[in-house]
Amino acid sequence: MQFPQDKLVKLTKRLSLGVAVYGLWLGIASLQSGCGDETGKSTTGKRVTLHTRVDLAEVARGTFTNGFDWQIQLKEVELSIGELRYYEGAAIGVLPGDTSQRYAGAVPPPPQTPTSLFRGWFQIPTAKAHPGHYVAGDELGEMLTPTSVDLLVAPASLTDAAGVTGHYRSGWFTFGDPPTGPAASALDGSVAHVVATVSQSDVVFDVELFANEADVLDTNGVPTVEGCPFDDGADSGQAVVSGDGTIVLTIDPSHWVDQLDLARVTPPTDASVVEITSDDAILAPLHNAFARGLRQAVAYRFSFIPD
Amino acid sequence: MTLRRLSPTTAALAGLLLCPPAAAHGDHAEVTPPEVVSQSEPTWPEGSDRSQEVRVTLVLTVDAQGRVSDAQLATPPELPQHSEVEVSEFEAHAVEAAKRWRFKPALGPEGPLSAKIRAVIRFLPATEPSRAGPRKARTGAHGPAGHLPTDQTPAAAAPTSEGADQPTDQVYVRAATPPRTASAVERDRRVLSAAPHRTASDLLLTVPGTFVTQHSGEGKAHQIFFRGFDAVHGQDIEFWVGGAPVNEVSNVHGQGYADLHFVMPEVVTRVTALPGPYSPEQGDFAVAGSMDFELGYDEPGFTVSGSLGSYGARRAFLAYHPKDAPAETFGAFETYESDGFGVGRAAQRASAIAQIVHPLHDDIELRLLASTYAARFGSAGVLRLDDVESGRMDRFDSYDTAQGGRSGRTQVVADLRGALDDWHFHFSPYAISRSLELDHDFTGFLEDPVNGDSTQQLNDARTLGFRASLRRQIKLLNEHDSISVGIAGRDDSIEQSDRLLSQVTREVTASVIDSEVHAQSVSGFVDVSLRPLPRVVVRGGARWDALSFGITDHLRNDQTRSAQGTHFGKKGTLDVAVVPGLHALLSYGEGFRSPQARSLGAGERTPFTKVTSYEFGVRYGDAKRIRASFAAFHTDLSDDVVFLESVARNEPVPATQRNGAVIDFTAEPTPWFTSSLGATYTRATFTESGGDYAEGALVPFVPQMVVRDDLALKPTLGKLLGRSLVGTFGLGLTYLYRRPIPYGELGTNVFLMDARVAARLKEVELSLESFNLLDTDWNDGEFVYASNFNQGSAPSLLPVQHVSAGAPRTVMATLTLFI
Repeated sequence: MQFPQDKLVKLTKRLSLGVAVYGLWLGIASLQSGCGDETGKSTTGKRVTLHTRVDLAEVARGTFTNGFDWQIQLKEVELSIGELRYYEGAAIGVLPGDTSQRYAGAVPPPPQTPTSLFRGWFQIPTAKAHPGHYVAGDELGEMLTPTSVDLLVAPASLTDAAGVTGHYRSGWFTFGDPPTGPAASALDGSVAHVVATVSQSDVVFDVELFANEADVLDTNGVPTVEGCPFDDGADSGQAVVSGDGTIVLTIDPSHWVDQLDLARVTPPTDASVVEITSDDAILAPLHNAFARGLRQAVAYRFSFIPD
Repeated sequence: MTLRRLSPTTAALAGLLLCPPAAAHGDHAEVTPPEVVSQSEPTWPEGSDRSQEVRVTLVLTVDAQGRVSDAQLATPPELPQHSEVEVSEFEAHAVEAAKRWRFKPALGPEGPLSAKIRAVIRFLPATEPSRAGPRKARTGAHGPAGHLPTDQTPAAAAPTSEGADQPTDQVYVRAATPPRTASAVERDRRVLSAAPHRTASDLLLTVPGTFVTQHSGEGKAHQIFFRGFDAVHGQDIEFWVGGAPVNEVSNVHGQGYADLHFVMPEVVTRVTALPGPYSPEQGDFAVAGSMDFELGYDEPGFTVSGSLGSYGARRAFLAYHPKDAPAETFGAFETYESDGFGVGRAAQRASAIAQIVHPLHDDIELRLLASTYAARFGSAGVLRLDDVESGRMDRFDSYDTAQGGRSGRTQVVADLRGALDDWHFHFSPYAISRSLELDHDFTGFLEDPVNGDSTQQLNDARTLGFRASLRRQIKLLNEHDSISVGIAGRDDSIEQSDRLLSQVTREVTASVIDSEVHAQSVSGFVDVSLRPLPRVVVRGGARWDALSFGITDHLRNDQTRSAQGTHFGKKGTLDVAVVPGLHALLSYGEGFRSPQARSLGAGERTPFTKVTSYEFGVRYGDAKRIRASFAAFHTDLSDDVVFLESVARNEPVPATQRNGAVIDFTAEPTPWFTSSLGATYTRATFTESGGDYAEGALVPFVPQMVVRDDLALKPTLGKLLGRSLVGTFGLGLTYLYRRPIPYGELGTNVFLMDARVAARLKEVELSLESFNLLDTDWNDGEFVYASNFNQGSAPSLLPVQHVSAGAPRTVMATLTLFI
C-alpha cells in the first residue's frame, strides 16, 4: 500500500513543528539552568554587609619615638568619626607587592604590545617618574553613622557599613563635627584629643592637644583624609571583598605626633599638663604639626577580614 | 502570520464572470452578478522567491448568501521552471484566499441565487511597482456583462471561460521578499491593531523579544529592549519610517537616538523586524536588528476622531485617504495633550503626515512623504527605590518637577521606484531636520552640593541622504537567480551642548559639551540570490560602510579633530524548503555600530563595535494564515556599552555575547480572529573581563524572557439601521521576566494587560481602551547608580536602585466618524 503523499507532508510538518517546540523548551530549560555552570547566572558583584571595627595600632599602645626623638606614651586618645568610605582606586604612596593586582579593577592593565614584550624579554625596566595622582574611582562601601571612640580602650565596634563586592584599595576617613557618641564629652567639641607623656633624656612632662574641624580641612574644605591605605593585612595594597566581613580601621596616632618638636615646650615645673594650642605663638607650630599629622593618610589603615 | 519581509506583490482578481446556467429554465432572465463585499488578501507562499508573475485561475461558486461555497482550480499555475512544492503552494494560497471572500450574491428576478465566476489570482514579483492600483479590495465590483442568465442549480453549473477576461476588481497584497532569517517577522494592520497602542513605539511590542518603556516623559524617545539588547534609545536597532532613517548619529543624549513619536500608530500599515545583521541592506546600528515602518491609511474618505481619557488626556486624530488611491496615499494629523499620571508628567504633541503615491509611467511611480512633529513634555525623572519603599516618596512623585524637554522633527522623503527593461530600481532621497532639548536630573546634589546636578542637553541636527538600488534577474545557476546592488549616502550636521543648570535659578552654571559634529556615511552593498538546487536558495552578499566624523569643540577654543573608518561585513542565508510551507534557514551576518563622534581622537581610525551573528531556525506558513517560527541565535560583540552607575550613562564595557531562542506563532484562521504570540529567551553574558565586569557574568539591564500576546476578535454583532454592527475585542499581554541588574540583583518582573472594546456602525465607531488594565505597579525604568537628593546631607555614594514608575491603569474613550 502506498502512503498518501499529502499525509506524508502533513506528518512531516507536524513532526518538524513538534521538534521545534521541543527544541525551544529544551533550549530554555538549559539556558535557565545554565547547563550546570554557575557562570552566567547573575551580574558581576553583589551587595555585602561590612561590620566596622576601630582599633589602635600596636605601635601606639606602648612607648614610641617621634621624628624629633621624643619618647611618647599615650594616656588619652579620643577621635570623632564622621564617615568612612572605601574605594577601588589605589592609595598613593602605598606600593603593593603584586602590582598587577592594582590594575585588576577600574584601571585595566596596559595591553601587551610588541614593544612591551621586547622590553620584558630583555628585562628593560619601566621608568617610574612619580606615583601619580590619587584617583578614588568607584565607591565600594561606606559607613555613614557619626560616632567617637576612645582609642585606648579599642577595639570598638561601629555601625555596620553597606558595600558591594570588589577590590578595595583605599579608604576615606572623615572627622565628625560636632562629635557624637561615647567619647564626645572627652572631645569637648573637638575632632581629636590626645594626652601623652613625653620624655627626652631626663625631661618628662605631659602634653594635651585638641584639634578642631578647621584644623583638619583639606583643600576642598572638608574634614576628610583621602587615599588611606587599604589591604588584606598582608601589605598587598588591596583587599578582595567577595562577601560579608569586617572592615578594620587601625589608627596609628604616632603619625599625628611624629613631627612634634617638643623642645619648643618649656617643661612645667610641676605635674601640670601643657596644653598645646594654636593661640600660643611658640606652641602654634607644634599644634600645626599635630594638625598635619591628623591629615596623614598612613595614620588610618583599613583592612578586611572576611566572615 | 507572515514571517517574512514582504514587498509589493499583487494578486489580481481578474475576469469576474457569472457562468452560464445549466439552462434549468430555458429562458435567460437578466441577473445582477455577485458584487465583492470583502476579499481577504492571499498570502505569498512561505519562502517562495519568484521574480516572474504567477497566475492561478479559479472557478468560484458563490452561493445565495454570498459565500464562496466552492473554489476549484481551472488552470494550473503558470510557473516556469517550477517545482511541485511551489505549484501546490500557489494553488493552496489562491484557493484559501478565495474561499474567504464575501459577495453580495447574484440577484435574479426571484431574488438571490448562486452563481459561478472565474477568478484569476495574480502573484506579482516583489519589486513590481503598485501600478496595479490600491492594495485594499474595492467593493462594488461588477461582472463583465451585468445581465446574466440565472442559475438556480449551482451544482450543475459548469465553469466556462467565455467572456471571462475583463478585469473587474483587484486585490493588492504585499508580496514577500525572501526571508533573511528564520525569526524575521512582519506585522500588518491585523496584528498591529489587535491590541490598543498609544504610540508608534508601542507597536514594537508585537515583535517577539521587544519590550518598550518610556522613563522620562511622553516625548522623549522610548527605551527599547530587543533580543537581549538594551538598545536604550536606539543604539542597537536600525529604524526606518516611510523611507527615512530615524537613528540620530552622535546625538548628545545617546548614540542612535530614535524618537518615533512623530508617527501616529493608525498610519503604520506594517512593521517589518529583521533581527540580527543578516541582510546586506542593514547598516549602522543594526546590532540587535532592524525595524522598518511602512506608512499608509486605508479608511476611504475622512476620518475624524476625538478621545478623552484618564489624567486629562485629550486626543484628536484626522485623516484623509482618497477612495480609489493606494493606501500609501493619505494625510493625517494628530494632537495630544495630557496632564500626566503624576506630578511633572504633563505632555503635548502635534504631528502631521502627508504621503502620496503617483504613477509617472506604466512601470514607474513616485512616492512623496512629508511630516512635521512638535512636542513639549514634562518628566518626573527617577526616584530612589529606598525612598519609595520607605514611604518617603510616593512612586508617582518627583524630586525635581522642572525636568522635561522639547522635541521636533520635519522631514521630506521622495521614493522613485519601478522597472526599466529588466532592471527594477529604487531611488529615495530624504531630508530631515531634528531638534531636541532635554532637562533632567538623575543625581540630585551628588556632584554639586550647592547648585545641584540638573543638566540640559541640546541637539539640533540636519540630515540629508539617499538610498538607491538596482535589481535584475540573472541566470547563474538557475533562471530565477537575481542580483541587487545598492548604495546609500548620508550627511549629518549636528550642533550639541550639555550644560549644568542651577536647580534654583535654572541658569547655566557650566558647559560640559559644546560642539559641532559633521558626519558622513557612504555605503554600498551587493546581494545575490542563487538556486543551486530545486528546494535550496542561497542569499547573501557583502556591505561596505565608510563613516567620517569632524568635530569642532567650542570648549577648547574651537579645536577641531576628525576621524574616519570603514567596515566590511559579509552576510548570507541558506534557505531549504523542507515540505510545502516549511523552511529551514541558516543565517550569518556581520554588522557594526558606530561610536559617539565626541569620543574620537584626532586622526583616529573610527573604532566600530563589530557584531557577528548566527541563527538557525524553521519557518512555517500556510494558506490558512497560520505562521510559526522557531529560531536559536548567537551574537558576539567585540565590545559593548552598558549603563554605568558611577557616571550614570552608557559607557564602553568588554566584549559580550547573546545566546537565545525565539518562537513566534500567528493565526488568522478567520477574518474575525487574530492571534499573535511571541516569546524570546536570551542570555547576555560578558565574554571578557574588564573594569567592573567579569567574564561569564550576565550583562545588566537586559531582560531574559519577553512574552507578548496580541489577540483580537472582530465579530459582526448584527444589523442596525441597515448597517452591519461590527464589534472589536482586543487584548495585548506583555510579560517581562528576569531582568538582571548590577550586583547580582534582579529587577521587578512586569505583567501588563491592555484591552480594547469597540463597536462600529459603518460611519461611526465608539471605542474604549484601557492600558495596564490590572493596574499593576511596575517600573518602566530601573537603574543602579549613586545619587543624593537631600541637599546638605552626607551623601551615600554607593550605587542604589532608582526607578521611574510605569503608568497606572488609564482609560481612553474615542468617538470616530468615517465620512
